[in-house]
Amino acid sequence: MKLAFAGVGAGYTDVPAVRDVDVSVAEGEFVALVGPNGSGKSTLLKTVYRALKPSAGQVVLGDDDLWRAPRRDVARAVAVLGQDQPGGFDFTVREAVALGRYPHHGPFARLGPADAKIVDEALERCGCGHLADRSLATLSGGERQRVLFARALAQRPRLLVLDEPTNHLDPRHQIAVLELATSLGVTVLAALHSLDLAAQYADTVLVLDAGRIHRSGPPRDVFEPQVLREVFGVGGTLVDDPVTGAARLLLRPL
Amino acid sequence: MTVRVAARDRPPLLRRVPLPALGVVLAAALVLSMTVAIGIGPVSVPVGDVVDALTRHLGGSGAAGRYDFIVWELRVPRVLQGAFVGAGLAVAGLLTQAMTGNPLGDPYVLGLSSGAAVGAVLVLTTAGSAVLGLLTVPAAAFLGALAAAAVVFALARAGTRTPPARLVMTGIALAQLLSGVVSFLLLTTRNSNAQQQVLFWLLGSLAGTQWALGTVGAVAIGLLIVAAAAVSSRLNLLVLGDDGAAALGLNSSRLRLVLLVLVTLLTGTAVAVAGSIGFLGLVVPNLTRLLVGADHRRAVPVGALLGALILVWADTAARVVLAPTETPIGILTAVFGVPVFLLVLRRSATGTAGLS
Repeated sequence: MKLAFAGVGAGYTDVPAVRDVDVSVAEGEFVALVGPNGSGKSTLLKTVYRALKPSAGQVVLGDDDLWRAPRRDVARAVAVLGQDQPGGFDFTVREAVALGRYPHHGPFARLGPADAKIVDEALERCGCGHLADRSLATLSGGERQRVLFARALAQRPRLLVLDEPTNHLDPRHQIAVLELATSLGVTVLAALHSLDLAAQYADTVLVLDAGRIHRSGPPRDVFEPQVLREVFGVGGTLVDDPVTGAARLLLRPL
Repeated sequence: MTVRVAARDRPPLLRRVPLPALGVVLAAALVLSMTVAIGIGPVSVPVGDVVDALTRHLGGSGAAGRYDFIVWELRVPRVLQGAFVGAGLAVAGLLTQAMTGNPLGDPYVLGLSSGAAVGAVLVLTTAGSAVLGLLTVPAAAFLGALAAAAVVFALARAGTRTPPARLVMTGIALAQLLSGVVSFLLLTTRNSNAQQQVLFWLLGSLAGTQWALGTVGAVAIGLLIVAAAAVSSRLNLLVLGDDGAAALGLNSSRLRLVLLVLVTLLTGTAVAVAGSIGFLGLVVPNLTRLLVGADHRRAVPVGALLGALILVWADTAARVVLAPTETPIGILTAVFGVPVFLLVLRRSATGTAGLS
């Protein structure tokens, strides 16, 4: 599903944490949002899953203003894997993943067999089928992250928002999450700390610096030495992965 | 080293039992308990006579039996009131814990009971029950709870949001202030009869429940529990935090406001008719989740029935432990509640009842 930011500004105080964001994301595109800590990545993402209303501009999902559309319609189209989510009470893994079906059936209907199947599929795809009856509170950080990803999948979104999805994950699961995200065939908007992962997986990279889009384009155009130095304060070289051929980024001190 | 997490990861005992089956069994246990409890007290009434008196009244034939007054005028309203107050406090606790995302939440943490106490004590130590007769103290307590909730909500608000942690901190602070006020009023009053009444009220009691007030309380609490059941599936989302809930299409600020209103009305009503009975609002929700899991669509109805059962029996104990003197229920719920609560804490998967 396509997404556009038109002059978006947002923040928690009178001084917006992001401003003047004008970006279009095409259907099926994988867009990586990168930037130093505090550059406004999470703030911008929150305007997409209706956690923070923009103070200026519009977020357009498909053809509709996302903040004027009914909440539930938005929740049926957009799923999010957030940065840090409270463990909450002792939900089982399956119960937690089933919450992803909420926007589709509403507060009063019961989950049907079709929902149960979607939940099981989501669990399998995220490699946590064996955890289904465990209590969420007993999982490791990495396991929990995969369960929350399964919940996002159970939502059957057409736009997947990922906020630092690889936090808490070991290398194998970092790669697994991003492989899974790209294999879904849906539009992905992901805030990533690892510039190398952004270079490998993104069709388009948005560089956010102090709340503004500093640069945007394909990874090979964006990750220039000048951008790395000015925005991130590091040196770096783009290389081709000898095996996959994907763009890889080697970082070093300036 | 082996990780012992898996060993402690015991699923809730009754998680796989379908809700209708649980409901039928608990409701049957409640009806049975109430019937038996009606017969227990300083004057014991055989179960046969209880059933006889009940069928006479419910059947409309007015002929009075031997125990008619004790059963119909003293025990029945009291036991019914106990069931509704217990259910109401348990549901209020479940809502508070979901609203604050904290299994240690208790409707009293929001300062509601302290507000009610100030209202009731003000009336008891000054005006007496002159103004509205029997309804004076309950009305004052209810208004006190309402006022406390309004103050807590107004002070905890930050911009357009009401962060749950601020709600709890503000509630605790206000509760401390108000309990100081209550102590001051108690110390300065010269009316020793009032002091006695206040103490009894502060620890909670169902003694002297009459049909008029009992009916009002029961209807109000019943309706509020139905309302709570209607929002129960949304409570599950709230546990994900505000952002997580927003991503699933829930306006958590609005829901929290609805919950605060429900909790205030439930607690205000319960405290108005029975004093501030402690611990039920904290213990029963934890016990319920331990038994049936955290899905609020199950926890709300099951918690209501469990709360009712527990208070009916605690009140029965209150009648007989020091008979013919009444024991304040607060003492019995604490004596029962603390061990159960510690057990829950020991058994829970993380050892912190989900509080991380």
